[in-house]
Amino acid sequence: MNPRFELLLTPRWIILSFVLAFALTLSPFFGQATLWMPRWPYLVLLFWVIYQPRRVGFLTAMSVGLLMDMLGDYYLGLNALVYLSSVMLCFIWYTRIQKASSFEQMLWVIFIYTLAQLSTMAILLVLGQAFMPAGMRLWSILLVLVIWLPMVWCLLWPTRRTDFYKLQ
Amino acid sequence: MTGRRHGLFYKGGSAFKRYVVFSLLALVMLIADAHWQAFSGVRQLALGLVYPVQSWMNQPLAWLNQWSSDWQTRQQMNHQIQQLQQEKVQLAVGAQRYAQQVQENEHLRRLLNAPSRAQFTQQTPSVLGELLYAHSHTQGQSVWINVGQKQTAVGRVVMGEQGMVGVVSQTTPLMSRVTLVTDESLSIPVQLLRTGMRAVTLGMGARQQLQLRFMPQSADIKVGDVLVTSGLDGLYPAGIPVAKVQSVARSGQGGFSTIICTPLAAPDQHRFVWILGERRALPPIPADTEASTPLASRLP
Repeated sequence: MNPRFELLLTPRWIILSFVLAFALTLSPFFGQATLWMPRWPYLVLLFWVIYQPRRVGFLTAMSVGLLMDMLGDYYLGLNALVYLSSVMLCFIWYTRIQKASSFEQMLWVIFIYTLAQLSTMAILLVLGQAFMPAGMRLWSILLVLVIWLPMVWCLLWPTRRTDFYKLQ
Repeated sequence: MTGRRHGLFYKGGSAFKRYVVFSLLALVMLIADAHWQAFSGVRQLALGLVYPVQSWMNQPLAWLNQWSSDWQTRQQMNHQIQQLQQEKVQLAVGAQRYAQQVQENEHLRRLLNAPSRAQFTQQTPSVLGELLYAHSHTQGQSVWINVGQKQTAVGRVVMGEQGMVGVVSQTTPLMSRVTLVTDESLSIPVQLLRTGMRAVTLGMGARQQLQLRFMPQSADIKVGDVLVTSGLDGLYPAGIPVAKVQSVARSGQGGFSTIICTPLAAPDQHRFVWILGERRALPPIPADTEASTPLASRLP
């Protein structure tokens, strides 16, 4: 981990990024396309688990998951469970993900994202629910390809300051 | 590598414990919610709390919609303005053409040495008269006006604002008698404005109407046609509106149609009238020539 990231990605920026992600989720701007899109808070959560694992962990995952459950039509705890598992996977493959290039990191994210979608569908099946919405959301895996790298670029914005040497 | 692995192991152990604890919590909540709807109240509350945020996030979209509708209105208005401007240009072209034709007409008349129409209608100054007595019986339809013989003469045309009212038929020092167009003894040579066909009107007395006499059944006359004076009699100026055709009955006696007209000026409803000035005299009718004599002598 680049020490520069640890120093510059402050808790204030982390909280702001989650607020923006939730705002994007709540915004009707995308209309029906929301169904096809990956959940923004989930992607942001994965980003922070990869780039700031000391600050973002299970507690954040639990909170974000429960919020998503309350905002969506899912059962309370469903997204929380899935998000917790995703964070756990990130921790398990922590070394590999850290060593990977940003493109390989994206592949890791897509892998974890797919597992999360499948487990969501599995849980809904166990609960005896139709999983069409989740089935539709499988397509959003492809969208992660498009979204991930620009999102990383945006979230790393505070690290691009030129006067970094003054902070050291 | 080893250090990281050690770090991961150290963190991992703790992380796994935390994962298990949180997951169990989430699982309990999930089962409680799925089976007993335990958290429906909480969800309602959360949605209520989120609503302001949601509407706030909706605001840019609302602005965008407002802006686009404003833009559409603006575009429509621009379009309409353009259309109106085009129409204006077209109308202006028409108006210009009209003015040109009027000018050209004047010019041609001057070339042909024909007096212009204006010379027939613009006459010596007209006089305003006020009605003093209405004098109507079955045959005679006439009124007295307060214009004396110094200002007018027998045969002058009397007009209302819509058209011809009648003709001055008698003058006294202080008053003049006007025979109305509806008088049974008054005939006015007229012309159909639409076709230019000539005819003669005859008053119908108390019916307050006029009739066209001796019009063939094939004559092109429609209800609503306007009759104006033809000016061919040498008495009245041309172009004064007289009457409007009210009914056309083709099955009249003797092969003629019965055509009834209504005077445009409503002679019995006026209080003030204009008496036109003297008509400009036409050149005299030439004397009968040799060529016309045999034809005239053949007539009974």
